[in-house]
Amino acid sequence: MDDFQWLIAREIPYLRRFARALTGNTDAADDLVQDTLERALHKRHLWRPRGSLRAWLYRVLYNVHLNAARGRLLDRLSVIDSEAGEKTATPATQDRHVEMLDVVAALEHLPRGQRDAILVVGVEGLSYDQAAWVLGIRLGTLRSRLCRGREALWRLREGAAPRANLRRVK
Amino acid sequence: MTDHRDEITEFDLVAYADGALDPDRSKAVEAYLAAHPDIAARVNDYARQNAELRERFDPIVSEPIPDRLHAPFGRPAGPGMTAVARAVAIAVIVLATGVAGWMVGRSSDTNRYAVEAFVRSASAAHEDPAIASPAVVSSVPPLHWLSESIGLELRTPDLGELGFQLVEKRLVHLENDRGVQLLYKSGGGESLSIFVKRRWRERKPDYEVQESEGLMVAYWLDGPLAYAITGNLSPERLRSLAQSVNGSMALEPRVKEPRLQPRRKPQAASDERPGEPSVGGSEAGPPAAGSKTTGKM
Repeated sequence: MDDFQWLIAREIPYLRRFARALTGNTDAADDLVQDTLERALHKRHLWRPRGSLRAWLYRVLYNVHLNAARGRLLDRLSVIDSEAGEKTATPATQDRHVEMLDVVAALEHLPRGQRDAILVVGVEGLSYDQAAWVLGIRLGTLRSRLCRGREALWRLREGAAPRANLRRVK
Repeated sequence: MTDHRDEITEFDLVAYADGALDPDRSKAVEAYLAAHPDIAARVNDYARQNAELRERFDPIVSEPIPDRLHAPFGRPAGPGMTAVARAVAIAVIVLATGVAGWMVGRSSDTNRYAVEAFVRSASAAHEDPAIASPAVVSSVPPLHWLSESIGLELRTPDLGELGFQLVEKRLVHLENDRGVQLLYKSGGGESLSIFVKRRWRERKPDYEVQESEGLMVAYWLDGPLAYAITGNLSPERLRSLAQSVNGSMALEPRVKEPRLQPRRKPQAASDERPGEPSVGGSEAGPPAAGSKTTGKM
C-alpha cells in the first residue's frame, strides 16, 4: 500500500470543491480533478514532505486548469485574459440587481485573476502566502487582486455606492 | 509614535476581512472602522462574500466521491498487481479459535509466529483476490458455517459508525484452511476486509501495535478469539479501530446479520470523512500557514 496515494486520496473532496468553484460545473470539475490526480501521481517525485500536500495539489490543479483554459482560448482564437485587457465591473442596473446579490454570479463579472484570487482565499481558506503560491503569482499581486476584486464585488452587490474617501495604497 | 490609524490601507481592510491580519494591526483596523461606519459596512460585505462562498461550496466536501476519481489509483485486483497500484484499502484480519484446537496459547503469549504467518497470508489474500477466491460452493451461508465449526455464534460486525457497509460475504481459502471473508466498503470508496478462520485460545484484550513487513499491525486476544488488524494507518488510529472492531465482534447468543448494501451506490449519509488532514501537523506551507501579514506591503 502506498502512503502517498492514500494521502492524496484523502484530499479528493477538497480538490472537488476547488475545482467546482473554478469551473462552475460538476462534470468539468471532476474532469479537472481526475486530470489533477493523474498529474500529481505522475509528478510525485517533485513532492517534498515538509510542506502542505493539499496546497501542492491545489497548485497542480490550478495549473491544469489554466492550461486547459488556454487551450480552449487558443482553439477559439481569442485573446488570452490579462490584467490590462479585462473589462471593468459595471454598476448594477435595476434588472441585474438581484443576480448581483449572489456572490457566485457576481464573481463571473470579474476578471479571471481577481476571481480566482477570491476563490482560493474565500472558498479554500488558504493563507495569503499559500494562495499566492498556488496561483503562481507574487504576494503583492495577490493582495492587489483581492482588493480590486472585493471592491468590485461590493459595488455589484450594493449598487453604485459613493466611493469612500480612503487613503490609497501606492 | 505614529498614529496607526492614519496608515490604514485597502490592503489592511481586505486582510482584516479575510482574517489574515496580525492581532496588533487588527486592533488598529477595528478602531478605524469604529470611527468610519460606512467603510465598516463595506468591510462587512467583504467578510460576507467569504461566508457566502463557504456556504455555497462547503457541502461539496461531503459528497460521495465519483468512482472515476479512484481510477488514477488503479483498480483492485487481478493477480500480479503491484502494491503501488492498489486502491486505498485497509485490511482487517480476525483469527477465530476453534474447538478442534490449533495452538494453546500461554497467558502472555501473543502467538507472534502464528500472527505473522496469518498477517502474511491475509495480506496476500486481501491484495490478491485470486488467492482468497471462493474455495467452496456451499449452500450454507459463510458465517453460519464458521459458527457451526467453532461452536460459537459469531455476529457480523456492524461497522456503520466507522462509515463502512457490508457488501459481500464469502468462503475463502486461507493458509490451508477455510475461512470467511467479509468485505466492507465506505462511502468514500475505501475497502476493508475481515477474514475469519479457526484458531485457539483466550485472553483479555491487550492491544499491541507493531510494524510487520512494512505494515502497522495491531493484535490482541479476546476470549477464544485472536485478532489482527493491518493497515497503512497510524498506530493510534489502528488502536482505536481495534477497539471498535473488538466491540463489534462481541459474542452474543444471537447471530445478527446486517443487510448487504448495494455496491453501486455508496450512502452519502455514511460517508467517512477524512477530517482535517494532519500532514505535517498543520496546514503549513510550502509557505508557512497562518503567517499573518503585518499590514503594509
